[in-house]
Amino acid sequence: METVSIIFSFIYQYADNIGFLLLAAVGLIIIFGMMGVINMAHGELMMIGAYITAFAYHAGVPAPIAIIFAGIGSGLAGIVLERLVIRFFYRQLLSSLVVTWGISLVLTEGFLLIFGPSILNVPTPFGSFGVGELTFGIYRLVLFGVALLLIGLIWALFSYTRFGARARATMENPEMAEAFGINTSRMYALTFGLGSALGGIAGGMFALTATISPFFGVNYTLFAFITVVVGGGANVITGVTTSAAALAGAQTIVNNAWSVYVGYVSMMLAAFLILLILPRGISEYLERRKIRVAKKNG
Amino acid sequence: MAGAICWKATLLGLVTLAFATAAFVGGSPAQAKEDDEIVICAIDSTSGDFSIMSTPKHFAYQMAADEINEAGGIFVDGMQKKIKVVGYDGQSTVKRYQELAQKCVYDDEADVVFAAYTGAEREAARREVIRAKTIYWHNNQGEGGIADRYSFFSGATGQQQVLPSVKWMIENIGPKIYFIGADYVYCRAMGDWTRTAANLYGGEMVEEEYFPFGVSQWQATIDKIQRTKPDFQAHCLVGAEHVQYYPQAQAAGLTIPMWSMVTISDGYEHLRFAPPALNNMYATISYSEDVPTDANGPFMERFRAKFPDTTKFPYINQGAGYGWTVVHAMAEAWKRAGTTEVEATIEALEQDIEIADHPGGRWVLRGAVHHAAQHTYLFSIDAEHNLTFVADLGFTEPTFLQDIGVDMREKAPGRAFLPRDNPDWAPFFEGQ
Repeated sequence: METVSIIFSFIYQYADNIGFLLLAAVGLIIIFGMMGVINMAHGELMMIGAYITAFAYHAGVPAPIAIIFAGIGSGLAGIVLERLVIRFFYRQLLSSLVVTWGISLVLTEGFLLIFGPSILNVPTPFGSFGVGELTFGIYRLVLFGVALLLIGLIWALFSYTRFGARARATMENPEMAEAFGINTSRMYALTFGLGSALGGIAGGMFALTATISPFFGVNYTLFAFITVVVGGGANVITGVTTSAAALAGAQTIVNNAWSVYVGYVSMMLAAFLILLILPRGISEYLERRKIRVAKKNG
Repeated sequence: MAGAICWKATLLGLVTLAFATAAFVGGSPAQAKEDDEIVICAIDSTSGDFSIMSTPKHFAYQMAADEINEAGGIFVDGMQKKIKVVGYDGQSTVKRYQELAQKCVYDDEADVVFAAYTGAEREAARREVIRAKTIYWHNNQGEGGIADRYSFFSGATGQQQVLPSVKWMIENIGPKIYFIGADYVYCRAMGDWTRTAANLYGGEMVEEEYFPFGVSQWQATIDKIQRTKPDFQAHCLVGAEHVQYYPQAQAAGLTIPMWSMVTISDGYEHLRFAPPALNNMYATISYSEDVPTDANGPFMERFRAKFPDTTKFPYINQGAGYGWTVVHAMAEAWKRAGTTEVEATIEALEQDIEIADHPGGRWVLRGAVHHAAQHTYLFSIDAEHNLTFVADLGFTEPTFLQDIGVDMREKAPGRAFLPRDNPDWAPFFEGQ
C-alpha cells in the first residue's frame, strides 16, 4: 500500500506542477505565442483577476461565477490596455517589453495604494481524499483539469471558428487580412482581450490557494514566459503543453530525489538545455519532424 | 504566426530586464541636515513581497518621533533638537538595502539607521552602516547571535522565543518535531534553536528542511510530513509564496499541529487566508495587537488615531511595537549622553535602557549584549481563525552571548554566533 501511495503522490505532484505552468502560461499563449507581444504585465492581469475573484466571493458570489467575473474583468482591462498602449507597439519587440514592464509597475503600485498590502483570499474548496496513508487536496487536480480544458478551448477556437481563422490571418499577414475585409485593429484588440481574460481566469483559480497581494503576479510571469519560450512559436499549443510536461517532469523527479531547491534549479537548467539544442523551441522540432515523417510516408 | 520572434533574444531581454529592475535606484535627493535636527534613517520594504510585514513598523517610527517632537524634542549638544525621520522603500530587494544604507549614512548624515526585515536585507544594510561607524538597529525578531559594537536589536532572539515555545509544545503537544523553513540566515538559525530546544527539553527533531524563497507548491513536503508523522510541525516560512503552504496543507487534509515564530506575528496570515487554513496553529508573538498588556490598549488607540486606514494597516503587528519602542530608546540614550555623538550614545545605550510602556510589556535593552529582554507570548488559532491567548512564557533575557563569554561593554567580537558555538550545546549538532 505504501508503494501505491508513493507512486500516486508522484503522479499527483507531476499533475500539480504541469497545471501550475500551464495555468500561468495560458493567457500568454495567445498574447506572446501568437501575437508576439512581450507582455510583462501578464502577471498583473492575473492579479486583477485574483482581486476580482476575492471581492466578488466575499460579496456573496459563488466561487466559479466569481472566477468568470475575473475573466470578464481582466479581459476588459486587456482591451483597454491594448487600445490605449499596446497597439502602438506591435512588431517592436523591445519597446513592447519596456512599455508593458512600466504598466506592470504602475498596476502593482496602484493596487498597493488603493487596496493596501494584502486582502483576504478565498477558501480552497473540495477538501481532500486519501490514498494509503497519504491525503491529497482535490483542488490542485481541478487546477490541472481547468488548465487542460482552457488549452483545449484555445485550440478549438483558433482551429475551427471563423473568429479563429480571422485572428490567425491577422497575426500572419495583417495587410492581406485587411485587403480581405477583416477589421484587423478590432481583431488585435479582441485577441489581446481574450488572452487577458484567460490570464484573469488563471489568476482567479490561483486566488483560491494563494496570498492575494499587489505583487501576486510577479511569481507567475517568469514561469509563464519560460514555458511559452521553451515551447516555441511554430505551433504554440503543442509547444506549450510539451514544454510544461518536460519542465514539470524535471522538477518533479528532482524535487523527490533531492530537494525542492534543486528541483527549481533543474527546471531552469532544463529550459536552458532545451533552448541550447532547439533554439526555436520544442514545437519547431516537432513540426520539422512531422514534415519529415510525412515526406517519408508519402 | 509569430515566426519572426527570436525566442532566445527574448529570453535574454527578459533576464536583462530582471537585472535592470534590481539596479534601479530611486528615492528623493538628500537634503542637508539642519543643525537642530536629529536624523533617523528608516529603510523598510513598503512595496514588494515583504511590505505586508514591514509597513506598520515604518510608520510606527514616525509616530514615535512625532510624539517626542510634540513634547518639545530632545536637548542635546547645547540645543533643543527635533527628530526627523527620513524613510526609504527597500522594495523587498536585498541590493536596494545596501545602496540605501550608503545614502542614509553619507547623504542624509543619519544619526541612526533602522533597516530591513529579513536577515539577508539586514546584513546588506548593516555592513554599510557599521563600516561608517554609525549606529544600526534591526527591529524584528532575530537570531540573537550578532555581537558588534555598532549593531543593536530590539526584537526577541531565538533563545527568547524558540526555547520557551518549543518547551511548551513538547510538554503539551508531543516530542517529535518536523522543522520546515526558508533557506536563509534567520530560519537556518531558528532550525538550530529548535534543535537546541529539542535536546534540552526531551524532544526530537525528526526532520529539518529548508526551501528557497518563491517556492509555492508544497505537495512533496506535505506528503513527507504525513509519512513522518511528527507530533508537531515547526515553521519558519517567510514571504507570500511560502505561506501558500497553509491553504495547501489544509486542503490536503494535513491536521498535525503547527507552531511558528514568524507566522501571524509579522504577516497576520489569519486575516489574509480564508479560514480554516491556519487551524491547529500555535504562534509565538512578542508583540501584536492581540497581546494582553496594560500598555497595548493606549498604544493601539494612538496608532489607529494616527493611521486610521485599515486597508493599509489591517493588523498592528510585532514590527509596529518594536518600531515605536526603538525610537523612544534612542531618544533616551541621546538624552542621557547629552549628545548625538556616536561613541557617547553607544555608552549610554550600554547602560541598559528600559522602556516601561513598550506595548508588549516590559522591555529592557541589555547593554552587555545589545539585545532586549522582553515577554514572549503563545497564542493558538482555531478553525474560525480566532486568536486565543495560551500563555505568557515569561519575561525572557537574551543571555546567549553572555553565556559564551561576550560582554560588549568590554570588547565587541564583531561577528555572529550560533547555538552550536555554545560548548554545552555543540554535541546537539554533531554529524550535522
